[in-house]
Amino acid sequence: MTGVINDTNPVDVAVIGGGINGLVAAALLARTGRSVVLLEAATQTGGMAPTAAQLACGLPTSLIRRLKLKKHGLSLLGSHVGRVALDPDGRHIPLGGKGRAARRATREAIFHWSSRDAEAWDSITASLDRLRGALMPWVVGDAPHLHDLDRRQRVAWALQLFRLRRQGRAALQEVLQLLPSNVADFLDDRLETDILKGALALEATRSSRHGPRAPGSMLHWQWERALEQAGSAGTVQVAGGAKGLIAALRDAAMAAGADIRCSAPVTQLLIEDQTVLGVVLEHGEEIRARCVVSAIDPRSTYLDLVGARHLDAGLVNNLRHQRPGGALGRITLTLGRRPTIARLTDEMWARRLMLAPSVPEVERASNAAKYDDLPDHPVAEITVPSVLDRNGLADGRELLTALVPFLPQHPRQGWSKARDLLAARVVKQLSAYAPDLPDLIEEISILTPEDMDPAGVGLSSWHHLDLAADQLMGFRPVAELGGHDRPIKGLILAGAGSHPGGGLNGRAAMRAVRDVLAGAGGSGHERS
Amino acid sequence: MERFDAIIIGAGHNGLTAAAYLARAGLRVVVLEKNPYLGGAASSREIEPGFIYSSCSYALSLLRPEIIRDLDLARHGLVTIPFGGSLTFLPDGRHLASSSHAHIMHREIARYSPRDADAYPRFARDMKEQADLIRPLMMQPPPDPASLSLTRLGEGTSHLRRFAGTSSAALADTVRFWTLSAKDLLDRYFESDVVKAHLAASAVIGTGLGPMSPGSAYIMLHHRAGGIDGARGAWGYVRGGMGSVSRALAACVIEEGGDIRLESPVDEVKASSGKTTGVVLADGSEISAGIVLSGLELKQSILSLLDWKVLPQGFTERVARFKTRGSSAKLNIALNGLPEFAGIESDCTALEGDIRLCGTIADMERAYDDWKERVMPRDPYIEMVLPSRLDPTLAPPGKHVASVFVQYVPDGLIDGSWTDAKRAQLQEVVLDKIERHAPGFRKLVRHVETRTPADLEAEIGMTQGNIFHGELTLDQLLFNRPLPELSRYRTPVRGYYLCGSSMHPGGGVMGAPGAVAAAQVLRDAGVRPRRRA
Repeated sequence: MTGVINDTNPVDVAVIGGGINGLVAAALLARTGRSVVLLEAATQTGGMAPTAAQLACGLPTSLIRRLKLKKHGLSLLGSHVGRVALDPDGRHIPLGGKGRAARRATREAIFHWSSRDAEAWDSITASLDRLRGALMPWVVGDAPHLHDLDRRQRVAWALQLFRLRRQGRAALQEVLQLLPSNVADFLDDRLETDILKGALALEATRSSRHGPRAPGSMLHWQWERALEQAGSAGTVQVAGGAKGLIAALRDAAMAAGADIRCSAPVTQLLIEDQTVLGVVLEHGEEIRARCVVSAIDPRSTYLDLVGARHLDAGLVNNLRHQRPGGALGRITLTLGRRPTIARLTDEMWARRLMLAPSVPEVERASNAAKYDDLPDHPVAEITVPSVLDRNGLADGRELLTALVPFLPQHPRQGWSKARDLLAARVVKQLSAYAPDLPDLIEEISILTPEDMDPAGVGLSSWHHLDLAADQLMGFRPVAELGGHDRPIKGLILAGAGSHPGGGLNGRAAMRAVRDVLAGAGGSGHERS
Repeated sequence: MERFDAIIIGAGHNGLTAAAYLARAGLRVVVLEKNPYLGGAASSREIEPGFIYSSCSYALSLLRPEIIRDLDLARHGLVTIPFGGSLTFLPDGRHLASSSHAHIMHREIARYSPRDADAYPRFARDMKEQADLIRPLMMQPPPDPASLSLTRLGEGTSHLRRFAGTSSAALADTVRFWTLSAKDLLDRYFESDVVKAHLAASAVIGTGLGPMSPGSAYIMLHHRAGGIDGARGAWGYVRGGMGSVSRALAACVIEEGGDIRLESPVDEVKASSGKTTGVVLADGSEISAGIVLSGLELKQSILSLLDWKVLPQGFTERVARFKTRGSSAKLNIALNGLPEFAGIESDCTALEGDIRLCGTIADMERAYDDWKERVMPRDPYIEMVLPSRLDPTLAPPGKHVASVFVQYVPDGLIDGSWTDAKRAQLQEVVLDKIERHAPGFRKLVRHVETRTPADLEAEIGMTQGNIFHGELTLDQLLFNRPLPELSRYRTPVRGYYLCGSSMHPGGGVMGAPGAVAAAQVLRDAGVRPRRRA
């Protein structure tokens, strides 16, 4: 290999990928005094985040504090943004939010539909919180191995089992029964209000490949809830959208001394004796590094950058057959003014509006993608970020974003034809709630799964990999890479495809940084 | 009032198995069956003169070899006949004839994909390894992770250790077999849609999951956890039809001094101060016993037979949540001759096994989507066997019987429940589909019996016609089957036990729930089971 050899002065850490996890890893590592270079292929940092997200769910408070993100310009608007189960006739049900008043408002709204449901609500949320609680230690902790547990992990597992058992035999049994079950049955067994069940089913499955009737959908739902709520600022809107968060992180990373290089695609890792020695950039430049943190997806990292020749055939096969999360689209409408949705209060407009009439409608919407079709009646999660964040928007105008789950990665007619069809269908669904909406549209911007993920490796879902039993914890991304005994020494995964999963929270990077600091990143050259 | 040591409700294969084990241990048992025939869903009857139908179940594999041995079923007349192979047809006429001979199988798969032909032995080996992990769990109560008893915890840990396997990667493999969809699992091995359709067929049978639903890979595994004549995972016929299983079990019960009464429907299981005292029959007569076992499905056993007042608060609700959606129908057909299949030599041994008329995995999944909407199937998955090819006792010379299993048939339709007209419509859909693959089939038809899921419920007592007595998903398997608090075969009413397929290890003509329940009864009663000399 020819090129600029830069081995006289290796950096401590090379971070690949400038999405949220890459920036978090770079910032945290640079703060420890390590020399860090972050390499981003695109012309600017941000990865999927700037285009894809409006809300930050579960941004850890410890991260905000440690990186002094507020000093670096992070501004959080609204706290604990809840949801609303939308009803075309205006009998909306607010869900979530913080505090007793929010819970009372939910119960009261449900009561207008069904006194039975209102009565059952507290016990249902208690069950769900037990499930989430059961997963929480694994979400915030290290990727637990399920095999060859070392003593510390054995103690952690025993402790967690004991914690659950202490709440009673029935409580533990309920957790073990519900975790592998499906969302549709859970809801149908306990509730009768369609819009309430529809909203919950959409919340549960929006980032998944599977609909609410799929076994395992409860695990997906509760893992995501645990991710969003573990020691975090809750679900918040970031001023400037996810771009605002990215800007603050970049600022923090640079202030800590990280060298951030955009338009610097990594094409290969330098590997000798199964140990990573550095990275090779597109133009042949080599950067020697004691440790490489990859915040891009695990499959590209290992199959493209490391290369199959360094890997065991079983690992290669497992990486090839990882299952991505659901393919998502985002449709953003610029509206002349706020549309009319019957009896939707200002407070509700700032929430996530769940456009999902019932569980069967969510399930039906999930059917089409199995055959590479668009759903006839898409369901969607709507946010109107301009309610809290005008962000230079001309007066009166509003931005409305519909997050549309269950899309095919490659629709049979191709996205060039399917994109407008999808937008038309989403607008049609929306106008059942806001009849004046079609007339208010000034601009439509459509982000298809292909736009977000041109390579089609499943990155349009913020988890990169589906949250399923065989792709979580020590099995994430695959068992061979989930433990400390990695096939390539000095290469650490920090992306959404590694434990504990994705979202605008930086948790995967925080975990990777712990690994690096614990010495797992120790490569050939030890740091003096 | 008559008195027995134990009453067994239902003369299905699990009830009879439990009865036989209890009788062998010296208990005075009586088996009460509502129908005028033995066997429940493992029965064979001459419905059309001269033709014997195995009305519900139609092939054997899962029946535990321990039971065959313990109860000496061979001496009691059980003769099994292994399938020669099986045959899968796609709508476009492509077909795959499987064989237990590795080189023939390789050649056949290679017609569609040489790569898949090479992958098949790896798949078969992985399947076998996973089935081997499950087998030891089948003849004992499931582990109980919520128990604080050291014995239970010890049991659980030893199971965990076995499952943990040799490496983290091996454990991940096990998790995949238990949680993936059939499609995702098969995609890991194969590329040809014919091969995948052929293998996915056993993932859809009897279940309320689609081949793309997570968890359906386990259904495939469940169907492989048995074996026949020592050949693991293999399937076969029973000479004389599936009723011969029940007849052999019944012969064993009677030889051990037990009593079997047909046309004796039980109305109620009596309980006083939290303990069972016996049963009341439909004619008002009572039989008393301190031990009662029900081989019926969970909801029938609890909700129909017990006085709800004796049950703990919230319990009936939890029982009612047990998932028993039915998805299968059955046609039994008397034929005036042997049907011929387009493109297949009539002496092909694969015709001696199950003949699957299916589409690709996507087609099966569409049928599942229709089923979720509770509509009449348009193009159902069909599995047909012609047992009379290998068993001359089933039909007059030159004549044949066909057993046709139909998958993704809802237990009720969106526009109402099953009626005679709708049943007839289903029958036409099925016969049309067979005719497309076996031209001239209709002309051979002499008599047809069609059973919808509703018929299965009405006659056999399987709630909603679910052939497994409850869906085989992880939330209803092992310690969760049927409910965590019932997983040790006991009910809240002392002395009242469950021994049907709703119990661990689940459905299929397996006998294990009956045998394990009987062992539990004997342990609780302090009776030592008799060992065979």
